[in-house]
Amino acid sequence: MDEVRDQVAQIRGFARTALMAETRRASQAKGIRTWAFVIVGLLNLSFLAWTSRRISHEISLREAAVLQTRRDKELLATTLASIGDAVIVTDAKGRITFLNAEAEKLTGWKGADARNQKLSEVFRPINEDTRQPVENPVDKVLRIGSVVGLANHTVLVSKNGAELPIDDSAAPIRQPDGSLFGVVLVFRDFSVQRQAQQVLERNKQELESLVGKRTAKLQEMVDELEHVSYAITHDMRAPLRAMSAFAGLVSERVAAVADKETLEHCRRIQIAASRLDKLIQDALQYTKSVLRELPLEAVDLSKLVPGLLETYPNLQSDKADIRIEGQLPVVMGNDALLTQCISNLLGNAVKFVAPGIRPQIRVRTETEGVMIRFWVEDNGIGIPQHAQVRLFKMFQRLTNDYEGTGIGLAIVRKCVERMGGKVGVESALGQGSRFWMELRLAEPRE
Amino acid sequence: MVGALSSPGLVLAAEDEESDAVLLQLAFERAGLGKNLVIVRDGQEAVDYLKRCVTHSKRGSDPLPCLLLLDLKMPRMTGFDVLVWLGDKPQFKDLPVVVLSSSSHESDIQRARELGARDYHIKPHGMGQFVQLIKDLTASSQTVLTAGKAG
Repeated sequence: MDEVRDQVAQIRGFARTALMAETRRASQAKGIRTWAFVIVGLLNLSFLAWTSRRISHEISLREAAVLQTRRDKELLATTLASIGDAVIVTDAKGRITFLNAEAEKLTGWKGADARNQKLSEVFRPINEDTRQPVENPVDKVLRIGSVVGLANHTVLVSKNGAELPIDDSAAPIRQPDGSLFGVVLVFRDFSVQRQAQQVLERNKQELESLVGKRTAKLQEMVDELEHVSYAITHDMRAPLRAMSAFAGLVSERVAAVADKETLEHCRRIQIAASRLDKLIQDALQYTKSVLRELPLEAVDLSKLVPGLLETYPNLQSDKADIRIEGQLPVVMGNDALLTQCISNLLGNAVKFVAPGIRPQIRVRTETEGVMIRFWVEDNGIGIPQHAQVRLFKMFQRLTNDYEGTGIGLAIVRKCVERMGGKVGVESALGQGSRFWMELRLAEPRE
Repeated sequence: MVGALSSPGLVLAAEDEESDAVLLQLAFERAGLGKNLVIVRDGQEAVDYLKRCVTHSKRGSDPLPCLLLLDLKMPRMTGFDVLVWLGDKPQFKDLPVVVLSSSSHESDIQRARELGARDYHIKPHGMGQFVQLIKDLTASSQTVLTAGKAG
């Protein structure tokens, strides 16, 4: 029995242990399940919390966006309403969808009344002069599909019949897919500018008329001066001729009986008269080169210069060797003036040589961009450095040993200046002179 | 060119300036042609003279000159006016006209030629030159000028 009792006690011990282990396991399992429940519960809760937070975040974003859109809309509306110019927006059929305050003011229509009206009811432009209605810019945009402006002299007729000069433009409003959504018309009161334009136009006309009158007056004066100088010089030459000729006749008559001095006196009379005559001619020439309105034209020097050499007696080959080097170009100038200048320069070159020396003259040109330098180089007596400054002034004669009026070079300078160029000289006493004239090429050489 | 009715020696000159007229006469005399020259005082007188030549042509009392020397600046009718007057008169188409002027203006020279002047000369200052000019002019107009022969 003890054995059985021991074994039962053993079994009960085992059972109890097993039960305790079972209970423990069970309660462990239960604990785990509870924990599982708790954990799952917690997970669920946190998931819910996170989701709801996300959702409310989305909601607040959307709300913010909606708010922003509303604010933007308000801002645009305010901006549109604040634009100083009048704005009218129409749909693709030309019916008004929006009218800003300025448009209300200029057309005389209230926004509410204007909505859905056809634009032509509200916006009525007519031609100021013909009084005919002008094509509506919105119709034009709908027709053409691009930005248009109103023609000049357009005037807007408001609801109450008042007229207002306007300036405007209309543009299509396109959807992203390119289809026409509507038209936006912008216009403004142009009356101030129109007035300003008119004043400007009036001023311009007055000015032009004034300039015209002054020019005419100046031309009159110039003509008068020319006429006078021509008349004077012509009338002066007649008595000079008489003086010269009769002095010569006296000389002849008394030649047989008079002494050398008497004859010399007569000679001096003739010389003086001749000098005065040349002076008058040159002075007249100078005046002409100053006063005359001379148009610039293309002048072919390769023809002009040889022509001079043929016709001018003092330039003939029996008197001098004049050589043209290279091709002479076509220049912008005046035929008469150039003839005057070149013949003066050549004449001087021939004249101012030492006694017994045959004049050797070289004529050539150098190109400098669009200008050319026309050189007349001689083997003459040369010009001292200090005298070169005065050279081109009126009535400046450097030497009494050679005939001259002292006007020739002044004429050259004036003429060349009028043709847009310059003159100058390179020279030294006893070493010949190189005169140059700067002229414009008729066609720039490359 | 000598016309059928022209005198083989008469030169008509129109010159208003007295000293120039004196010199002209002197030059002709020195060229041996003093009797061949008739001087009138302006363009109008020249025209009148020429008119008389035509109307009296049958009479032969006013022979047509074989050369006309014209000054330009003259009262009543200028040298240019005379040239214009001559321009459309066929009876004077063979009359050579030479302008003898103190003007050296290109425009005057050109205009004279355009109006029919055969030649244009500037009045010379010296008698020697003048005489030579007269000889040249009378020779070139193909007149046979015999000294002392009246018109």
